[in-house]
Amino acid sequence: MKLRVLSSAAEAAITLEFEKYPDKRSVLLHALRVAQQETGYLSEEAMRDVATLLELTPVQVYDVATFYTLFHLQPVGKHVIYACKSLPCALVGASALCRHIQNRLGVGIGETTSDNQFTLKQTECLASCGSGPMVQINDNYYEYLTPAKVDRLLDDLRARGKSDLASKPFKIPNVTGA
Amino acid sequence: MAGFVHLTIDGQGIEVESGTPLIEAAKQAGAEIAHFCYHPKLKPDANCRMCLVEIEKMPKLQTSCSTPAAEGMVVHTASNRVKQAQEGVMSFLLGNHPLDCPECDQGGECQLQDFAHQHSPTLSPFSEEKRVFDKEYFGPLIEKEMNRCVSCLRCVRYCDEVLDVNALGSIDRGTMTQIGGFAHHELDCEFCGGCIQICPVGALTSRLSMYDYRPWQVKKTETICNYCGDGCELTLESINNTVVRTSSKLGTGRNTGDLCVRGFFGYGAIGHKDRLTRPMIRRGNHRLQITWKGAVESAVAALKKIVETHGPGSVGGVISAHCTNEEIYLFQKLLRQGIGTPHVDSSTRYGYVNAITGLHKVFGTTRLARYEDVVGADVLLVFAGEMTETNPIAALKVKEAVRKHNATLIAVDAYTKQSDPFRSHLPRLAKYHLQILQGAESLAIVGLTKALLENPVLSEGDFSPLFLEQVTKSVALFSFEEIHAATGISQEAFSQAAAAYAGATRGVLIFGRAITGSEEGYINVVRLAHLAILAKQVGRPGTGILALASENNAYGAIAMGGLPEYLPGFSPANGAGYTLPGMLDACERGEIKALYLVGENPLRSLPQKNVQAALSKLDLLICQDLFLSETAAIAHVVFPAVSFAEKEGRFTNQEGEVQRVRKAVEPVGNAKTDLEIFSMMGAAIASSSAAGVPAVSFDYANSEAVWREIMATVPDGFHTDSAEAVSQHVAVYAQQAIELAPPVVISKRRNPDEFDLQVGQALFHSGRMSTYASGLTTLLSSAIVLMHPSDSDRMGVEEGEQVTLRAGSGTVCLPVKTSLKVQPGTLFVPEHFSLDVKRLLPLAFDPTTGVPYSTRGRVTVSKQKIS
Amino acid sequence: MNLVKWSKWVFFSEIVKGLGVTVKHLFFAKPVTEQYPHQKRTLPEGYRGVIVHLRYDDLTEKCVGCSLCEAACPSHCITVVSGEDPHMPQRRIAKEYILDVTKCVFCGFCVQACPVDALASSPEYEMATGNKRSLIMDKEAMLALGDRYFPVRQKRPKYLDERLALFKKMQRIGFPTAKQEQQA
Repeated sequence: MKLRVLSSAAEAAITLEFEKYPDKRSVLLHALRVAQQETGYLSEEAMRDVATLLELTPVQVYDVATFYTLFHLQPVGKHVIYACKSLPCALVGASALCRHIQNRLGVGIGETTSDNQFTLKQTECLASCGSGPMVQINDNYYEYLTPAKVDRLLDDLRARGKSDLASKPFKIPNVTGA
Repeated sequence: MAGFVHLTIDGQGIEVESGTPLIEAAKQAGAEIAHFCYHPKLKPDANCRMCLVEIEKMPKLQTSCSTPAAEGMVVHTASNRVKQAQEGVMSFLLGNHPLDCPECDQGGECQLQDFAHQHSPTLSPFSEEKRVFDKEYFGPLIEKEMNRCVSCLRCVRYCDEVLDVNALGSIDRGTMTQIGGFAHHELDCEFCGGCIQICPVGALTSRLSMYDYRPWQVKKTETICNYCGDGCELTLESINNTVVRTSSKLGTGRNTGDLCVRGFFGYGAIGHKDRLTRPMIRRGNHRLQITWKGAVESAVAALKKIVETHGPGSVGGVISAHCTNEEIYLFQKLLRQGIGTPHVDSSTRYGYVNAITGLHKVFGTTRLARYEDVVGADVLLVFAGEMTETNPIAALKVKEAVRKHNATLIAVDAYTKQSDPFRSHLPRLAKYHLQILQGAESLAIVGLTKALLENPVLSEGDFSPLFLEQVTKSVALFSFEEIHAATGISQEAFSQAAAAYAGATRGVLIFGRAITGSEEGYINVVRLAHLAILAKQVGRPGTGILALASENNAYGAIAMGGLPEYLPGFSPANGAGYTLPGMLDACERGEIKALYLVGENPLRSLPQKNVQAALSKLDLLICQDLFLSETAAIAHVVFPAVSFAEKEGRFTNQEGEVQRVRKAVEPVGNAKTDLEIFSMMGAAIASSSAAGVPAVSFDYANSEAVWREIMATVPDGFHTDSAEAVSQHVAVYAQQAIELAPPVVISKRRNPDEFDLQVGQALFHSGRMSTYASGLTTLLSSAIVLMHPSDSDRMGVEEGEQVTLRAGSGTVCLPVKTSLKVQPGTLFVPEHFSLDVKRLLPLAFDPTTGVPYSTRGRVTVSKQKIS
Repeated sequence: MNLVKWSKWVFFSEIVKGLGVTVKHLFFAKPVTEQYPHQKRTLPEGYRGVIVHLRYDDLTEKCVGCSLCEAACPSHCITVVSGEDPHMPQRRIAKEYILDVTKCVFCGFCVQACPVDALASSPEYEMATGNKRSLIMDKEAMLALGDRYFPVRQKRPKYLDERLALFKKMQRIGFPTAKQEQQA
């Protein structure tokens, strides 16, 4: 039962959750998130490790990992842009905005810029329907976007790594439990 | 428990068991509801939305697959609302389904086609382009065409719920959901073909028979598979005398429609180009092809000469347990009555005979458990971790018991709890897994028995004092500490497992080749029988013992008298006939002058023994086989026989179930069925026999005539013994003196280079015949050695790298494959390919049954030097 | 009125009228018989002669080997042996296609059954021969007849081009054919 890429800390973070659920498979989403934090994206080896820990077959892990847009199966850039494409955003110009981002970054959907700064992903509703068009970049929401705002936002992120256009912090519970 | 409910379906009142899904109830009422994701074998998923029905007093339409029938329901399956909904679903499905039916292998037996004819609207509301998936290579046996997929996930659920393999998953999401393996890699699973059979459309098809047939062209023949003792019913589909595909009809046969890789992809051996087509005789160093008449005449003339000079006892015969009951009966009749020799044996001598003679001695019968008992058991004690490979369908029954009916599985085997990805593995499902050291089965049984005897609650019962005393004495030799040291199992683990087994309401004991084909086989079977008696898990309905056979007619071979010990119908034979190893010794001594081998190849199966020398002393060696085997190559007369697909008859599976074998294709070339050959031989012998000797008739019109004779002469051969009869026999047995040799303790490995080597059956093969099937050789075509990753890491061996196995003076080089299943310090090599690896193993014989044991040994492993 | 009737009766006018028709055909009408081997009649539209195979305009054959013609044939004169194209992975073709003209009843059901319009009824009806074996036609013979009678070929549909491009791509990336795999 040797793990290929996951550290013992990650293994501990995953196995800690086992007692909370009736079976090990229930820990899968948590385990994938830990694995992604550890290696930046879910490599095949990382998914195999998760499968070994959870006593699943690799394809059961892959099954879940491909379903969620927040799991990356390829290496991603520093900032991952999740552009909402669901109906409320689309009605207020999300697709034009997404095209604008694509032109601006010079990448297609699911691709990463050559300087490894940005990865553009399209996703379904992010529960910010009243304030579209919107994108989520890493853990922050950016709402009521216009092409000009997007340009400013991307410049900010490239230059400083953060932007004050972020609407509010999007809280993710601390997975390591610390 | 299950009561009955009354409901109305389409105006028709019907009574069904409560809990029946509406779709099944409607079927009983004569209304077929269109469906894709529903399948009787699987839990309802209700994802395809095709089976919607209208139920009065329910505001919305309900999926009939997931709605259980309830009292007083009024259901409409064909109302306008239902029709509209089904048309809607259908137009969504057809919106993406390509119109490649003419090229699709499923065309003609496709559920989407059928239901589209009934339910599709004439016009599609969609003008969008259809989705297109990249074509993906899914391996050499299974063809994946995702554009055709309707995402019913039946394959994924079958792979999980029935097979417990989980090799398929639903990848991605939304309209681009597709079925696939891990990270779009080639499929690497058990290749049971279940996903192909269960796919309602042509998304998963067999690549082996791709484009070779259309479903309406094939001639279907229902017969029995010959690759193991499970006795699965299988449908051979042939066009122009060539088998192009196999399948199995849902719910039929002992396998209820499930097949394993050998059944599904192993049909290639039937029409193989290397099959023998004409009789041959040896002249000097050459083999001459001659006519049947000439071959039979020369064989009989030589036989007669030998019988006249050396007496009938100088003739011996061995038949393969792959032959039908009729053939084995006729073979022993030919030898015992036609020639008059007692030396008749069959290939069950390689292990299964231990199970039958052992169980027969204790219980008076051997048909103690059926698959229904296995599925219905609440505790299963399985001494056959390898059964997922050797008897995959019997293993499915165990999986069904554990996964569907929450049975407690106690697995005792030399495998780790972990398994390789995409392989089913019983220890993984086991509640109690006693992972013993290799070769420690006898001590594990002793440990379990001891634990049972020491538990005062469990061992109470009306056993005869003599029996209890003898069994207690037989296990008293070893303390639990010694057993722990030898097996690796603690007293506590033994006690828990023994308590679980003895506490069962319906406990079934299963054992396989790990017991019967290894050292102390006979005694271990008797020990297991004692264990079952002590735990009171035999002689009651629902309980019993199942001995797994690796040959399709192993049970039949013994019941038909294909043994020196038994005449047909298990009546003991008088006079001492030689067993197979005994015959070979007698050949070497010059005692046996003529040997008649039917589908038997001792040069291959006993390479350690000096078979070559023994056979070369024979005056006459007759070989009857499908292929020119090593032994057939040196035979004086070779008769070409036919495979199971080319003959009529009956096989008896390991449960004792007699099943019909039917002819699917005509014999290749001039080959004849074994039955015809025995008839010809018998007739020739009878006509040339001296006056005064009562002639035995071998004049049979067909296999039915032989079967009628069997039924007339041995009526006891196949009757099922009642539980009372078993109990009575046990009571008699318990009054007798029992002699049990003490178990042998396996010595410890001395240094880390030493490994315990096990040679056995791999999942993808069975004996020699499967190595001729192209479908199976694409999966495994040469010998490999399975090694635990910790060992390969320690030795610095990469996957696929050659290592040298050494024992005594013999060496074998084999490529390494890492496997989590084998224990550290043990190796596994499939037996089907290399003879050399068997030569590394010691050969021992069972003192009681004479079974040759040569599956285990100790070797040293070294990394091969690259020269 | 009576007078007219009476005069017709007296002067055999009906006979004269009848003879007039005879004379007209005897001397003035053209003969309806045709001098068959030297002279051939024009066949009506939709005449069903021998079944032939067609090609697309890029000379690839249309047949995909689906065996539906075999299933539709009432006289069982068609035998299709389908299989994978040995040179192109995943492509279904008819490895063998045999039409037994001696059994054919020229019903044209096969033409109607064909999902890719690969079959057509040609105007060919002169199949008389001294050698009956020559009436068992294979695919090449049927294609040759098709070339003769249907020189104007249908353009290859776009979706088929896409499929062919897919097959060619698979061939490029080394997607093996099933037969190659079995030999390996």
